Amino acid sequence: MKRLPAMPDEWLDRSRTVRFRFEGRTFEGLSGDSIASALWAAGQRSQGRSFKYHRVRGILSAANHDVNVMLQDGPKLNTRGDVVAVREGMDLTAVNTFGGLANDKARHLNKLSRFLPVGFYYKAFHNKRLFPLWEKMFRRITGLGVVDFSTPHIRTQKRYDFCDVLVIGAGPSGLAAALSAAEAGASVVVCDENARAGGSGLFQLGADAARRQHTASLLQQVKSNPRIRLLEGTYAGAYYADRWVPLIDENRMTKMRAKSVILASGAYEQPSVFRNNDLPGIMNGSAMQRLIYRYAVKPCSTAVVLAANADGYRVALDLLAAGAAVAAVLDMRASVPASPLADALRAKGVEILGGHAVYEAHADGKGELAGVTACRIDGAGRVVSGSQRRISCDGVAMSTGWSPAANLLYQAGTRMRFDDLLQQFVPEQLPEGVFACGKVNGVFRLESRITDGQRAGLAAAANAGFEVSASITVPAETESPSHAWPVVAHPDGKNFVDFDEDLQVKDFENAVQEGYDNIELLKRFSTVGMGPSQGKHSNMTALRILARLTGKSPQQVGTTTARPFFHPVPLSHLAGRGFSPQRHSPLHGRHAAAGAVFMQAGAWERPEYYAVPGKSRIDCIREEARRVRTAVALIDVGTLGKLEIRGPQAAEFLNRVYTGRYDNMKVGATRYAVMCDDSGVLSDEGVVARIAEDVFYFTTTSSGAATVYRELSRLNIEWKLDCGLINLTGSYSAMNLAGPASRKVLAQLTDMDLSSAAFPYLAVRTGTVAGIPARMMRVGFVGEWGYEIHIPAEYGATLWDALMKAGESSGIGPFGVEAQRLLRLEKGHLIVSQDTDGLTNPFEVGMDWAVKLDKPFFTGKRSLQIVRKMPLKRKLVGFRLGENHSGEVPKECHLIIQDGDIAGRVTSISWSPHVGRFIGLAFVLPSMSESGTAFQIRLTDGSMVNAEVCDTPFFDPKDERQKEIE
Amino acid sequence: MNAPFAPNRISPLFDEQAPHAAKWTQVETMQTVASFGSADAARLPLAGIGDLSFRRRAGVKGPGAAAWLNALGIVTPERMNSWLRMDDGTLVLRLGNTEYLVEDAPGGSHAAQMNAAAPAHGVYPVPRYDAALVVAGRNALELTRQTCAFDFTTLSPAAQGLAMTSMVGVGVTAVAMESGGETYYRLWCDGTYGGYLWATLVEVASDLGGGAVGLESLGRLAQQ
Repeated sequence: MKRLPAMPDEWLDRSRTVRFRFEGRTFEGLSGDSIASALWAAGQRSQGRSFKYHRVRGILSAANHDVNVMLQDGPKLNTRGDVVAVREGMDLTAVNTFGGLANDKARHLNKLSRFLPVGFYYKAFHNKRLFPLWEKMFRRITGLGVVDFSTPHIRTQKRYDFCDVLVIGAGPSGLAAALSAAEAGASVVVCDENARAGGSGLFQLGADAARRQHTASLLQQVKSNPRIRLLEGTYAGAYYADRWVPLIDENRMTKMRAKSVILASGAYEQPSVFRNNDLPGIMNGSAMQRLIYRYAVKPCSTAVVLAANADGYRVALDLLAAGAAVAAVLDMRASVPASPLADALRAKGVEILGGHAVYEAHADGKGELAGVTACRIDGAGRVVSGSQRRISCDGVAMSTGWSPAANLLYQAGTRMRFDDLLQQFVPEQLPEGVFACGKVNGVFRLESRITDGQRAGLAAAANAGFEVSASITVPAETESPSHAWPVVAHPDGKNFVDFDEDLQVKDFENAVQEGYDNIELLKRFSTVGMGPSQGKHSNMTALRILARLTGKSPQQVGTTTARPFFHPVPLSHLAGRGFSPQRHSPLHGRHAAAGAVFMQAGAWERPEYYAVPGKSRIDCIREEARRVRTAVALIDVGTLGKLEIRGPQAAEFLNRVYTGRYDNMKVGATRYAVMCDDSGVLSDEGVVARIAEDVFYFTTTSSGAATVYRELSRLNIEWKLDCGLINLTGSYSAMNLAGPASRKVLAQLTDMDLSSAAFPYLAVRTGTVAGIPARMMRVGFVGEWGYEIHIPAEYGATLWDALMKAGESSGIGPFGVEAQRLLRLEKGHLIVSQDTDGLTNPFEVGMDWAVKLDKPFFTGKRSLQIVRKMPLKRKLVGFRLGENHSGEVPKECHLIIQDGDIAGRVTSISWSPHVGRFIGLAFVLPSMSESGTAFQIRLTDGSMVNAEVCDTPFFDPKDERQKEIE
Repeated sequence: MNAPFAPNRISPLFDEQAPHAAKWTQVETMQTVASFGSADAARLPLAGIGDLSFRRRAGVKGPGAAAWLNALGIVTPERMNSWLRMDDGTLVLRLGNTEYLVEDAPGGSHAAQMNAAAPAHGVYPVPRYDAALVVAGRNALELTRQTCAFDFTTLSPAAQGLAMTSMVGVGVTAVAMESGGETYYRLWCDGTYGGYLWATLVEVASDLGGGAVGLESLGRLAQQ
């Protein structure tokens, strides 16, 4: 056991022991331990295997992105061992092994590494014939964890939240920023991924208790400030426009909208690069400090500290305070700057070697760290020959530099610049409402970070509208926190830059040699930064290597694009509770009760047909159609767009938006209406009814209702005509009572004169039906005598019931969308968007009669005038298959072939009981549009079906069904 | 024609409510759920969702709308996107600049009056058969947080502001009101989306300890 006495800010509950299994063995940890810390405390240094070479790995960063410790936790795969708290009963296995961590069969890949250089798969596995084989193999040996397809569905909540100032990161600068903003009056949310707030302020101590006191005091003030909400265990996963930030906690995602956002996200410590820098026992200095102060775990017995900044010296002091020996501090800088930290170490007998680095690390029999070879390096980072010296140790702390956690700053559109003194990218120009402080802002000294946080907090509060008078200046840094070249060359390689993808220095050299000398190309070829940690510990070093290899500065090399989400988010959180609004007509319940099989039509659910036990779908549809032709039936057409235009210039408005003429309509009449867009393309159709001199009621297609209303509203504002447009789509229920017996049924429910003389075909009348105020139109979409009845929505079901009851003796029944499609096809009526497409003009579909080019203006007129003078390219025609067609039937969109070329396509097709054949509509070349022209339709399997053009309507061409029937 | 008809109004939420209703009542000629069961009373203090669609309402818009309403004795809010309650309990919502929604208190007659009156020049009647909901309880705000990107804390009952926003993907008009010192919300939406809105809000409310509440348990909330 390496557990230390209680630390002042430790995350542990020492009264609760947690038992869990790892790789088949039972371990004990303490409540509050991360999986990784519990294992380390139990002496388990080997905690995972690497992705490509299957090398043994231990803790690297312990900073919530440690790819070395990724675990399968039952159905949960890729659990991050460095951040997930260990729970009683966990049964964990390391991902990416074949046969377990200790006996991983794939470990031999490590010895084959020379045959697996960067990008080898691009060159070796491109054979098309063999690719499926390779793909299968690679899918088996790669991938992290095993998906359990029987995992139960987890329903997670999503929520929105709001604040004046959102502070991302609860370290010293973030806490100071939150307090300043709150004291200015802002409501503040401060979030931090870690289980407890405080950040590096509570573990980068250098054995100096006074340093933790700064942060502890800030934290106490934050917790007691009523304007501040502190969200621990919650991280900001991305940044979206208008300061939307998704906050991820254990249970859900919260979409936070803030007036100001402060990035106090700190920096990622970067591993140094030397041979075997991945052996268990070698970790970032900050990882050792986290183990000591958060989990009270002694990281090692004897350490070597590889340093290039003051942080490394603090690590050494913290290790000493934790009872470890420090064999040496190897400082990569040419000389050791004078500092109290160095003095303190020397006073404790620690050897400090300036201009030194780790040449290579050595493993023991288990593949874990046993010692290092130190070496001198010259000013350019080259190893001084003959300077090597072996040091025994079981821990190496790497403290040579940082990379800003600036992912969200990039996503917000921040312009960054590379600061040569700091050796770090820092914000140069922040977007409005976005602020940065602390390490991500290039401020590293503890006191400066707190000051910088106060500055950012006040600025953010001011941006959120609060009065702020104070002005704060942050002193400039005097020491670089990052070494410009934390890389030590080695002829045998295995000096890893990217631990996710096992990328060594030579991989970058090879990539650049092959021409991938741009950061984006390098990323894609080498896959640097594309693993689970998304380059958090590798991108900066890769950038430095590329800069050196190409002779550019880091600024010139630039960074890759940072995309949401920058940190792992469970898919269950992203899925969350989804909202997909369904629109139901007021008659929906009646349809369901009648056995409707629903189909999706835009946002609506509509009855496709009504199922009858023992009957097939097609038989049900044909029976519904037969009922319309022979008796009476009722269909819900409430999904149609229903608009009203009212005012002295209502007719003028309709004249402008439709191709037809409406100012000459008589009150009580209806007229078919075609709408085009500016390019003359047919965009919608419907029926216009003149209710009064200054009132028109008109319908649109179901799918076009919202778009048409929106566009017409826009035009009404633009044209400033004296009329007003009202959308009644949801306010009115509508149903079509159709069939020879429709008048008989309706007569039972109304006092209105339904005679042909009083209520002729294509007339509109108002009155009451079943006591309900109604507008009724005699229209014939399905080709039968019928009434389209429009009533207030709240009476829809009542009228439906009344009509059904009144029609019982006439054999009434409901009919659905499919029967209606068949019936209208028999009449040759087209459906916009089914029989037309995004290029169809009215002349192509035989609607010349509906286009009044003599009107002064209507939308699309100019285009149609031009189109009119040009020869047609296609024409919509009716067609039928052979009389005794058998075999497969063409489907909508099947192609029409003539002389081996495409000559058109089928837009509608159905069996017509009335015609006794399959009939349809199709676009064909104008030369083929003569009735009787034979053509062929190609089926999906390539076979051909014979068809011939014929006249439409297929049924009742003289509209006899609309004439007086008694 | 046979005997005169006395048609019933049907709530746009009927289809969603019917399978769960324990007791029905007739209010303003609309069949409405009186109770969803014994849990109603316990749900209301947490996150209760009630159906007030039975209330009569009417709408009007156009440049002459305000004057026309005033001539009918209906007071109109001075600010855009705000509401007021008349002395007789009638709610008047000003939607944007020149559109108004008038909702009668139980037994009120303003809506009928509007429907019967001939619209003047520049007055365009807007029939309103909305799904009308009330959302109450101490978790009501959290319910809005899980269903809407709009910050309902900005709708204080005292300020009488009004929001037209999207909730669970459905366009709604929302206001905050107060009863007994507790804030609750009223929502109106197109009736054809009402069933989805109702079902979704009830589902989310159930996660918060609440759910559907019948008219009997709504008490004063149904009257205000």
